[in-house]
Amino acid sequence: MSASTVISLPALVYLPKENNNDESARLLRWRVASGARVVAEQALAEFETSKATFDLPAPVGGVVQYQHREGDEIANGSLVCLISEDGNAAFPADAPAVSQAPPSAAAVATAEPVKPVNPAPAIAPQPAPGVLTTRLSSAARALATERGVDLAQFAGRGLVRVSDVRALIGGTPPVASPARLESAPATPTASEDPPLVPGVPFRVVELSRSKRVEISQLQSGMRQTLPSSVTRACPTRSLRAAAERGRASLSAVLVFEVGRLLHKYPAFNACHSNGRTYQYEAVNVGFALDAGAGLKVPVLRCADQRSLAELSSELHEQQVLYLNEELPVAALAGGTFTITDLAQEGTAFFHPLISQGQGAILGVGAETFPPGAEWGVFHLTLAFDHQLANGRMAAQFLHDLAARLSGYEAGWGAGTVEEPYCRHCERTLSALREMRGFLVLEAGQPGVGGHVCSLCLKGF
Amino acid sequence: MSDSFPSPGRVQQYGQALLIRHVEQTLLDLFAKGELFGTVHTCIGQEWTGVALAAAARPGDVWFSNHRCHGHYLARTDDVDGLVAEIMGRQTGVCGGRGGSQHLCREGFFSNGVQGGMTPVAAGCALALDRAGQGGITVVFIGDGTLGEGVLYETLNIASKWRLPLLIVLENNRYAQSTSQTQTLAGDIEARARAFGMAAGRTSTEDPSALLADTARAVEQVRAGDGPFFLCVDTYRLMAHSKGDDNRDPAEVRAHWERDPLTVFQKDFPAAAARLQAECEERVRQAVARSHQAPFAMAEISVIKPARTGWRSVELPEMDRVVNRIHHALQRSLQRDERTILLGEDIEGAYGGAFKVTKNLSAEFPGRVRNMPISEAAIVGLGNGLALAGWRPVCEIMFGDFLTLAADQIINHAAKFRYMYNGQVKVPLVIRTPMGGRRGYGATHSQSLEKHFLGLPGVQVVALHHRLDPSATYDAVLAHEEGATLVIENKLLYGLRVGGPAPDGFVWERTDDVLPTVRLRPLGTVPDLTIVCYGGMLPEVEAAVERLFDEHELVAEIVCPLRLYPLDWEPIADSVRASRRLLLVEEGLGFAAFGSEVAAQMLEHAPDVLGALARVAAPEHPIPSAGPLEKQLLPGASQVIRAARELVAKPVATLR
Repeated sequence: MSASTVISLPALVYLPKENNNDESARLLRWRVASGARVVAEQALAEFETSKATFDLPAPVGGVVQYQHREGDEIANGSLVCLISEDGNAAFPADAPAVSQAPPSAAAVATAEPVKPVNPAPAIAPQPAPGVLTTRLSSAARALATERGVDLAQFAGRGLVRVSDVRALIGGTPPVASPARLESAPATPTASEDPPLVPGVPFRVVELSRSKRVEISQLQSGMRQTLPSSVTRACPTRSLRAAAERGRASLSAVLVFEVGRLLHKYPAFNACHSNGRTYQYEAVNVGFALDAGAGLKVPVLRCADQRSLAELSSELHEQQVLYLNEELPVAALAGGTFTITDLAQEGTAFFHPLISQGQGAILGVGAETFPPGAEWGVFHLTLAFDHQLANGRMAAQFLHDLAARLSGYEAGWGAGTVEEPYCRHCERTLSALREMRGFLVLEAGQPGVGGHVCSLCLKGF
Repeated sequence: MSDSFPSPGRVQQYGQALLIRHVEQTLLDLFAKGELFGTVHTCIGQEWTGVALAAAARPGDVWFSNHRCHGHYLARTDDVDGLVAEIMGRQTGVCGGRGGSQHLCREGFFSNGVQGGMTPVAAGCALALDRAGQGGITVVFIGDGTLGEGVLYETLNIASKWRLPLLIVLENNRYAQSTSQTQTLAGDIEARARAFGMAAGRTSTEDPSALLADTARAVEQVRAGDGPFFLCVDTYRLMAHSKGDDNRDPAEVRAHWERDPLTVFQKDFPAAAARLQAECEERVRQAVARSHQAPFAMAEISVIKPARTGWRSVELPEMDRVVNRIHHALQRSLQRDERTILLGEDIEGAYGGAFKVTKNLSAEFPGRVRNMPISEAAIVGLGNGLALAGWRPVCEIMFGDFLTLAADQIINHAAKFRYMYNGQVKVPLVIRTPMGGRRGYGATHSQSLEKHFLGLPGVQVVALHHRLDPSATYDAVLAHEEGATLVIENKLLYGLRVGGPAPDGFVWERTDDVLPTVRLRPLGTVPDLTIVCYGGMLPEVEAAVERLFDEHELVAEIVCPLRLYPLDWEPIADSVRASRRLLLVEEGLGFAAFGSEVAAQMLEHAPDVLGALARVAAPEHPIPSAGPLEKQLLPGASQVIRAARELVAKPVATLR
């Protein structure tokens, strides 16, 4: 950043992309307190990517304000902090989503991440000359940091793994490689203290970074909620009719209907903390994927405002990215409600865990066939935070959801006769009549107008 | 036919024709006695073509012939001993017994047995003779069967366009092996040449005087710089194409025997004919006797001997992009060597080829960076001819997928010349082509077809990458004269910068070879596995190796050979000795590919070091165009990571 560059205040400081491998960086520590005055080029915070740690310098002098906490994973291009004259600048309402930020009225994500308008300069971190040939794996770095090991001790050591860190801190025999068998120690080392069954051989398998993130999010969700759940059976033919009529996947239909229904039940699109309910103003539905490449929950933003076709195609894209292990971190951030589907595994019903910062999660089970029934049913389970709602409300939510799905059934299989339909939800007129709904002609340019149904007009 | 006694010169020509006939009749006898290897295609009845051309030849001229080449060879060289010994498989043969009947080579004479294959080679040689400006011309002999080969028309087109000093002599004997021309030939023969704006004429071997005069005129026209000439010589093959494959009407054959100029000569001038015949018989008898004394050709199989040269570190500062480093190498070669010439499609001007490698070079080196028609076989064929003439041709094939169109020139010409001509020639031909996908070009513009060109003795295959300077790689390739080089460039590598520091915790090392193998060696620990890859997969594997360590605590060592064939397996074995586990990664299809070859060589050469093995390659179907689908299917860093994790989880087996 050239000194002559003029930056107007307040300045928004975004996280620069440091390398091609990382979509986000971890905020290791703030170098200044929120509300402190800094000069240009002063280090604001230290970040860590998979390759290195680096300091983010202030692009301009002023008073710093921030909301992120140390340890947050921040997506590239996201807002890190504000620098203003007096420290009283307002955070922009459309600030990009923060993956692990606590819910806060001021930092609610309402839109897709925006391009930085005033990106901070990318200053390449210069590693100290002595540690050029040292590289710690993420797990080794995490362990060393947790145990307060000075990383300089590894200078010149080449590649450093968890086993090397353990050897340094506890005299534990080094583990050559995560999946290789090792002999069981007679007693577990005191420093590790895993609750092992004594005398049984075991092998150590390090959990992946993504699994560790998943654990921390679910643990946080468990700690902060009073989990409860209700389950309801729903005829499969409703869902199939919906998918067929909308030419969409079953998953997309669920996201579509849940997105709209959450407007009626804002308590399930919320987070509870200290006697307050924080109701999210955006409906960002996460859809859990687990098909061999780890559990990932890509988020369909503003699911309540998107057409079924849009949701179906975005969900498909995310599934492809997932299979390629290329889901960007930004795609996983900002969920306010989650749907998890174990139907593929043949699971009839299950109790899903509420994720950090959310108030509910919908579990979708596999189709089962009650004795004598012509059609199968599947079970919907809503796990919810009892601090935000109660069992009756949850039951009502599932009842409404089942009703919305059954609305698609009328006229299904009637052939190809074109009848008027809602261009938002694609329900036909006959389907709407059964639901006591109606269609109105939408104003538009001559010849391109369509119909909108009373349900979509009401917003749910 | 005149009854007056021919001039002494003409008598000598009758002697040449009789010699050719007697050599071939002797070869048929030897064949019947089981003293020849393979078959022979005789030109009995067609001898006068070679004799007529020889009468008009000058020392600097170069002739290219085909499977029926004995008459041309004897007319040009008078080398009965060399020919007979060659066909009898003796070390004293003109090609040491390596070539045989169809593959002869001696001072300005080359033959090869693939129909039409020599026509672009002759055109390339004609270009070299034209640039030399010493009045030499090139003659290429074809048969009427060759009229079915597409490469002939590619050659007629470019030879006429560039007005090359090329005389195409078509010996029209009206049969392609056993098939009559009436079944396979449409239209007019000379009109084919005229359609390309080429002068054409027609003559016959039935009247040697007219043939000699017509041939001399055609040769003079070409020598005068009036462009190529297409001479159709009507003739008749009096014996079978080869052996036992003559289904022509015996009456038709008998009628031609009676009209044959040598039959007529023997009838009109029996004394002179008998004297000439006796001379021929004596020469041939002696040649056969000497050949019987000579030893058979001996095997001299060259084997790649692994050189344990050790490793030294690569310190390559970050340089320009790969595409510019290739451009730089070509520019320098054009500057310092007048014989360097670039041929390809769209390579001239500021456009500089589909991938801009030759941008602006044509303005700097006029006439040596040349746009070719869309004729891949002719591009490589002309390159072959230029290489035989001592030039340094660099041919660009716009997409590696189109190498298939030049496959005959690579496999049956470039790869074979040096060996079958017994080391008398060098083939400093370079073919550059981009391979690889990830650009959405679809099934026919995205493939990695190099596996089909691996294992051709005489064609080394080099896969460029960005961890060695492509400019230095090209210097080494251009200095290689013994055989051709196929350089695989990768579309996605073009934009990458060359060199730069190794990732933290690793160091780049290379062997001491001219075309070295590089490896990315992990520091301070023994690798858990060795990953072998080449070319465009290197950046993907590098990314995988970093993530394998950071996220999965697995340490991988990359071994990346620059030269895929001939392959030095020792640097790979060296790494596997430490890791015991080998992951073979390539972008192309895996069946019978580079990875399978490396796996087999490891088992043959180092069976006790290999403990576990896995491969990553493209799935077994064509490459789709749609971006996400293509990306999903082509092997990348994710697939490498997955395979590496699975491989490390496998127990290390002792395979012996």
